Amino acid sequence: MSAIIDPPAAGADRPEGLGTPPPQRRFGSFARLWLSVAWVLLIFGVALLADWLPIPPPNSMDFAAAEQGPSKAHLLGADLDGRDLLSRIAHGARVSLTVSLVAPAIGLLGGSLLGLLAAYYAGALRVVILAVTDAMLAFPSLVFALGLTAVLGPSLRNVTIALGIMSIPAFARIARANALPLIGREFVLAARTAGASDAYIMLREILPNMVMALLTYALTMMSIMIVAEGSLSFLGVGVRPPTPSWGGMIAEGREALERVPHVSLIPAAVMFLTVLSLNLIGDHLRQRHEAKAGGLT
Amino acid sequence: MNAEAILQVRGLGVDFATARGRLHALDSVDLDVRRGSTLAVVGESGSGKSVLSRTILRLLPPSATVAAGARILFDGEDLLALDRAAIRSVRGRRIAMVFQDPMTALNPVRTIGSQLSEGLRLHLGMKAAAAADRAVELLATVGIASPARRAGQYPHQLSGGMRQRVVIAMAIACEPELLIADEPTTALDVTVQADILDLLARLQADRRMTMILITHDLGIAAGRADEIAVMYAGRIVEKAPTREIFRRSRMPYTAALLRSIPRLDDPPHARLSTIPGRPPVVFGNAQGCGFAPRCERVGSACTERTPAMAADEPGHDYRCWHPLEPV
Amino acid sequence: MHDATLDVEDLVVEYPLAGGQVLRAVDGVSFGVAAGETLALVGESGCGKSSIVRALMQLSPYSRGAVRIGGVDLAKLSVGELKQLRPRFQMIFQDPISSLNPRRRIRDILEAPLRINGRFDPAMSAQRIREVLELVGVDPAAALERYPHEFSGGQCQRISIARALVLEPELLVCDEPVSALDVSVRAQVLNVLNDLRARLGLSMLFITHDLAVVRNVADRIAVMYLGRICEIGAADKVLGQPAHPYTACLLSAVPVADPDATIERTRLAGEIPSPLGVGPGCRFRSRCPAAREICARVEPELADAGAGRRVACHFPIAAEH
Repeated sequence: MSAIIDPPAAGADRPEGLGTPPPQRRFGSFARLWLSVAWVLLIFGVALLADWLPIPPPNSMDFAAAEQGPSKAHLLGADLDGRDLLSRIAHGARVSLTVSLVAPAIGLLGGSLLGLLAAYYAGALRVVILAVTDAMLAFPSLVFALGLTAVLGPSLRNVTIALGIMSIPAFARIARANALPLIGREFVLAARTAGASDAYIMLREILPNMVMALLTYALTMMSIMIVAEGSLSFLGVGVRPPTPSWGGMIAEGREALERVPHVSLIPAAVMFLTVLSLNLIGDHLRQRHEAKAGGLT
Repeated sequence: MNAEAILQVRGLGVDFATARGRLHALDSVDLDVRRGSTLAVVGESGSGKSVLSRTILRLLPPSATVAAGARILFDGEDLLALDRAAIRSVRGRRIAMVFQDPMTALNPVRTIGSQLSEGLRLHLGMKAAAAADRAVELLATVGIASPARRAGQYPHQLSGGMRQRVVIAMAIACEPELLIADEPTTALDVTVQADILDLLARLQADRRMTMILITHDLGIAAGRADEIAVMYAGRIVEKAPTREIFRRSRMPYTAALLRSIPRLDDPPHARLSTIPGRPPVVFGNAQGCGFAPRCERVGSACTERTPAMAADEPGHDYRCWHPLEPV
Repeated sequence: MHDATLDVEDLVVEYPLAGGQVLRAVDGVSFGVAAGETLALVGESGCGKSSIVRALMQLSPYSRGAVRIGGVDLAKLSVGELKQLRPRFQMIFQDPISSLNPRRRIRDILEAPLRINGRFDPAMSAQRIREVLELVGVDPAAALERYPHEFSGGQCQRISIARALVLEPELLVCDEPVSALDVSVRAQVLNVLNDLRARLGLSMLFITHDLAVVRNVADRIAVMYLGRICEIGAADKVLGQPAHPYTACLLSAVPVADPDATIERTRLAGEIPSPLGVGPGCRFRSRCPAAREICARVEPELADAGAGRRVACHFPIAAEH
């Protein structure tokens, strides 16, 4: 039995049941999950099909329609230079999604490896890995990304690499925390007594048990990356124009925020919804993963 | 109704709401415990013995529902009908509990002495100095050497056996009338186990305390209990004085369990008698005897109707459609 | 004892503690297990039996002593040579659920030892895996494609035993294999182990604290206290006529499932002392009811007490004839 809790009595006389009904799966939580998945799929779809959608090219300027709100010609309106917002959001989605997929992947692979090694081997290797990851964690991450892109030059590739490297220490910590309790488990001992090599044990016995925790964190990372890329582009050191990016679009509309707010707010809303959806999906996965790990006594 | 019974349970059923449906942890439990006696509740996983002990003190999680109409009469008063303040004054004061793992009852960041005196101050209204002195006395009563020094130590500085003694000291501090011990010695070495059980017996005799001892170990039940209640799949399937259970068990599960235990006087490499299958976890509505799938005496009635508690002789109850004949 | 399956000689296991102190968990232990024999290692907390198991399975280092399998000293082998020898001695553990990787199917779990040792052959291995499952009483068709969480504790333990048998070991080391199981399930697993002993001629080293289980499985018993063996001999002799006071005390403390049994309990003073504070003389003297002056000065060595029994005591309990 887990919690020792005195459940609230229903009333002064005979309390009914002595327990509240279990937290039901309310309609709300299902709807949240599926709406989030639908939105993410929508964004993916739009990003993939951007070139084939019946919308104007992202960089063609239609001065007549500049600063207009949503209309038949421009479904989400146009920005200060008359460029179609929907089209720019669709192409900007490519940037955001590329970063949000590739950067966490770099962190996942690099961090898992380092974390696993730091958990399995004691001594100098562990000390070095932990020291390096601690140092990287202590360093302000955006400054690091800024510096890296300044040195290497702003481009989608460099932004992705910088953000990916930045995320390695966090993944390493999570990987290590998950690996440590697994290393002492009997099934690992059994593999050792059967003569398994360290590499076999790390890859075939320990890693599969860490995967869910790491993937859940990777999903959270995806949304963080979108915001990070957005921030870098907003500051002008991310992806360079004329390639559209959500952050860049927000920056462009900044000067006319009072006059035509939709130019900044629509890309901001799209970014907000995407990050929110990824977070909700990540929450759901984490709850399911933790429920399985806890188990029924 | 037994006039001497300090605890009477009637019609107790407890369900838990889980992801897999309603889990029937307890079903139709009736129990009388005589004042000053020791009752052992014996069972395996899923038998419901731990749930029973926690229900008496209303220590169930929110996902638990107690059957309507169930009553737990302690000295005539229905514990299930008490409000929260009332049950809190019963807990620790009139009914105390000792758990398997002493570390769940002990706060690792507070000294032994302060944890002991807290209960004394809260329940008995003692002043701090008097409570501290009484705490040291209690430690001595439970057989801890150098009690004054130990009172200033933290739980991690004590061995497992000593921690369990401290927990027992906390339990008896307010002179409870009923002590519920849930597997109090399972985590301890066998010599320490015997000492702790001796201590409990001594305390019980000195204070005329009633004890409910929950265990899976029939050896402990044999040596320490006046009466034994055997539980299976949430129900009491047999209840009788200790000797009756061992010599003349009526319920096939009890007999099979007794046969399957390895004993010191068996020949070496003896083939042990086994019960096929494993103890069930009961979801959904449970009709019929829970032991039917594993019973060698199973008949057609066994899977259709739940056997009611019967008794051929007073004091020996059993729940079976095809009981073993009295020897 | 060069033809013995397992020969442990003068094993010393030490753990360094903060502050420069050293905890000697195992202090010069020697014993052997012959072919087809089961030796039970019995003791309470702090006796060192877990450290012995880890040391002899080469899972943890040890400071001194030799562990020989079939006469070969394991410490003297290279990594590759040790790996070649490992199939000859396998192990099962206390927690059956934790013994199986929750992410792998039973088929993978059973194939793993073969693959690791380069003995995997699709046809023959499938056959072997079915064989070992049947040996432990688990239906292969029902089990192979499943995951560990779909099985009960008793079944998981039997699958663990099957895994240990896949490589055809001579020695099976069992670390409290039934302690975590329900009472009615223990009998099943103990029967399986006894069967294997009879059918395969397996040697077993059985670690447990439960003396009734020992009675059921063991040919010989070694009783340990604070890192040393205090008594070792044939099971029925040691259990029937214990020579060492500690053994007698242990036996008297075991709860017997018989309400009429009257056992004269030998009470011990105090609790098991810390292994750090072991002074000169016999380490049991602080609690021994029969301790005398010499016990505080001279540590008794394991000495022959007749009929294959050895006792480490200055005043062993005389056998009544």
